[in-house]
Amino acid sequence: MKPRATPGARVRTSALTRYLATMLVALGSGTVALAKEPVPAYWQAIVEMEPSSPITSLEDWDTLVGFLTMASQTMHESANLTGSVAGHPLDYYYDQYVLQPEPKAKLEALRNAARQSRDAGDESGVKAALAQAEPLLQAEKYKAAVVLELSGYAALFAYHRGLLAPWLMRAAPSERASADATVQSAYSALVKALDSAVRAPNYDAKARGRLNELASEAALEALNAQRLRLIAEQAELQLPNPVPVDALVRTTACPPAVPPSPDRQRPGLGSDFPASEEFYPATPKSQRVTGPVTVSLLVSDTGCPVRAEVDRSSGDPALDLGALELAMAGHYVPGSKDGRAVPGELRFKVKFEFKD
Amino acid sequence: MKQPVRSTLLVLLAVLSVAPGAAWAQAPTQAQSDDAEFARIGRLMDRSRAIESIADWDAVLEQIGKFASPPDARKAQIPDLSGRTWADYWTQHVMRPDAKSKLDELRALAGKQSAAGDEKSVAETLARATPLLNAEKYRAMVVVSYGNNEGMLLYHRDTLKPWLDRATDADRSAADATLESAQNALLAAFETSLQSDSPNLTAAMALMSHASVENLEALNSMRLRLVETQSSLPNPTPVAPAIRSDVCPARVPPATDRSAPSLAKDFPAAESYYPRFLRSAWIAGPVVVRATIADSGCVLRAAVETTSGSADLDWAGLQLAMDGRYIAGSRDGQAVPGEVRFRIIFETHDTTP
Repeated sequence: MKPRATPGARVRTSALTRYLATMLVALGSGTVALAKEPVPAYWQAIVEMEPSSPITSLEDWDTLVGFLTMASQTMHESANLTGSVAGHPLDYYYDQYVLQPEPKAKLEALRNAARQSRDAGDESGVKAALAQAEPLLQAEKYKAAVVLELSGYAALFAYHRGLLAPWLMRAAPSERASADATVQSAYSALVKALDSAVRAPNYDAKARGRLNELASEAALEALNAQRLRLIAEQAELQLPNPVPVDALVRTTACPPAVPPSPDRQRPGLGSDFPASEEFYPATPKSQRVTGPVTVSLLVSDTGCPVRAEVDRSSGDPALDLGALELAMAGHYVPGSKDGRAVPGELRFKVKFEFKD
Repeated sequence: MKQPVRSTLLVLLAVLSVAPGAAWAQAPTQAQSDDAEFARIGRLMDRSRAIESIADWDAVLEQIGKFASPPDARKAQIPDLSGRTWADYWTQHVMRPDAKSKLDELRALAGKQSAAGDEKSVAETLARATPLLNAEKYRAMVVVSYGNNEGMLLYHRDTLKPWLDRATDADRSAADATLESAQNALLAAFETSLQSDSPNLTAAMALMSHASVENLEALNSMRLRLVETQSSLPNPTPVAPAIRSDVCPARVPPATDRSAPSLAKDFPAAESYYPRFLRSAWIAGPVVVRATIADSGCVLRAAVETTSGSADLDWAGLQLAMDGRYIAGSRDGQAVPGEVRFRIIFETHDTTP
C-alpha cells in the first residue's frame, strides 16, 4: 500500500476518514479491510456545506433535507458497528438531535409556503420563506455534522477495540474488562461533549474541537499500548499471530547486483533506506494505530530483497503490510563468506508513530 | 497388505541405527548413521564366528556393555509400551549371573594363561568360552532388535500424540488398541526368538519386524488421516524454515516461457533423503514444500507448507529442497525471483536383496 491521499482530503474535517473507518470495521467484522466504496456523496455534501454558505435556492434546501434524511438511515445501518455508545446505539444520538418533530414541522410548513409562492409566480414570497428557513436549516446541518463527528470518533475507538479482539480472546478476562472500560469511558466523555456541542451556539468551533480532543491521545494510547503488550506476551507463549498477513514475494526483476559487505556474513540495510512515514498506510494512520512491526527479510546474494514476512505483528494487518512494503522497497547490501557474496535473512523493526 | 522383504544387511543397519548407545528410538535424521561403524559391529557380534583372541573377547563384552548402558543414562529408564525399561531387558536376558560368573572365571583363566605365554591353553579356553559368549551375543542382538522395533512403536506413539491430543476419543482408543496389539505381537516374537532351539539372528529379526509391520503401517495411515482432518489447525510440531547462508551455485539461465521458478531436471529423488530410521519405521507421507528462488536459480529458503505429521520427515523434505537445483522464471526476457511449491513423497518401498 503506497501512501496516498486520504479520500475526501479536501473536506475540512476528518469526519470523512472516520466514517470510512466505520465502513472498514463493517467490512472486516472487527479486523481490517480496505475501503473500496467511495464516500457517499451526500455525506461529503453535509460536511462540505460550510455554515457560512447560505442556502439560496429551493434546490439547496431540498438537497440538504435529502442529505439529512439519508444520513439518518446510514447512522441506523452502521449503529451496530460501534455497539452501544454510552448506553445507546449511534443512530439514537442522530435522531435525538437532528430533524426533531418541531423544526421538522416548521420546515415542512415553510417549504409548502415556498412552493405555493413559486406556483403563484410570487418570487418575493419564495425569498421570504427561504429567509425564514435559513437559520433552521443551518442549525440542523450543524447538529448533523456534530453527531457525524461523534460517530467518526466512536468508530476510532471501535476500530482499536476491533484490533484488540483476537488478542483479548487469548488473554485473561481482566484484559478484556480493561479494554472495554477504556472504550466505554472514552464513549461517555464523547457523548457528554456532544451534548454541549449541540447545545452550543451554531457553528461553535470550540465546542466541536472539544469532541476532537476527547478522541484523546490518552485513551487511544492506552488501547495501542495494551495491544502491543498482549502481542509481546503472546509471542513469548509462542502463540501464532491471529491476524496473519501473507509474506510478500518479489516476482519482478531485481535491481543491479550490489557488492557484498566484506566484513559481515549477514545482509545489511543500504544507505538510502526509506523512512517509515512514507509507508504508513492511510487507514491505520487515520485511525492513529501505532506500533513496531518486526520484519524478516530474505536478501539474495546480489542484495535483492526477495521475500518479506512479518516476524512480530503490530496487531493491525494493514500496518504490517505497510512494513512489508517498506522492506521490499528498501535497498540492501548482501553479506559475504570468504570474500564471496552470500544470501541471508535480515530482521529489523519498522516503527510507525503517530505525529499530529 | 505389503510385507517388507529386507536384506539382512538392511535389517541390521536399521537395528544399529537405533541401537548404538541408545535406548529405544533415536531418530537419526539430523546426523546420518555411520555405515562403517555398523559394519564393524555387525562383524563383531556375528555369533557364527569363534572368539579369535582375548582382545576380541573383550571387545564383545565392551560392545554388550555399550548396548546395555546408553551414554544418556536416563534413556535406560524410559519404559516401553509394556512398562519395562531398556535396563530391565538387559538385566533379565543378557549376561545373567550364572553365565557371567562362568565367563568371568574363564576370562581370568585366559588372562593367567596369556601372562604365562601359554598360547595353546589360551586357545582352549577361547574355544570353551566361544559357545557361551556367542549365546550372549545372540541374546544381546535379539534384545537390540527388540529395542529397535519397540523404538519404532514408541516413535509412532510420540509422533501421533500431538495430533491425537486434538482428535476424538474414538481415534485415541483406536491408536491405543493398535499400539497394544503391536506390542503384544512384538513381545511374543521376542520371547519366541529368545527361546529358539536353533538360534538364527536373521530369522529372529524378520520375526520381530514382521510382528509389528502391519501395525506400523496402520499407525502411519492414522497419522496421515489426522493431519488431513486437522489441516485447518496449526501444525503442532512445526519445523523452522531452512534459510541459505552459504555461497550460491553458479547462475543458471531462466526459463523463457514462464514467470515462476521450476525444478531443474536433475532434481533429487525423495529416496536419497529418506532417513533410514524413518523409512524402516514406516514413517511415510507427503511433505509439501514452498521454496523461494532467487533470479539466479539459487534456492534461498524452504518452508513446510503441508506437514507429513512428522517433524523429522518434514525436516528431511527441507534438506532435499535446499539441495535441489532450480530454474528461475523470467519476465520480458529478464530473470525474476519467485516461489515454487512442490510435494515430496516419502514412500516405504519393498526392498529386494
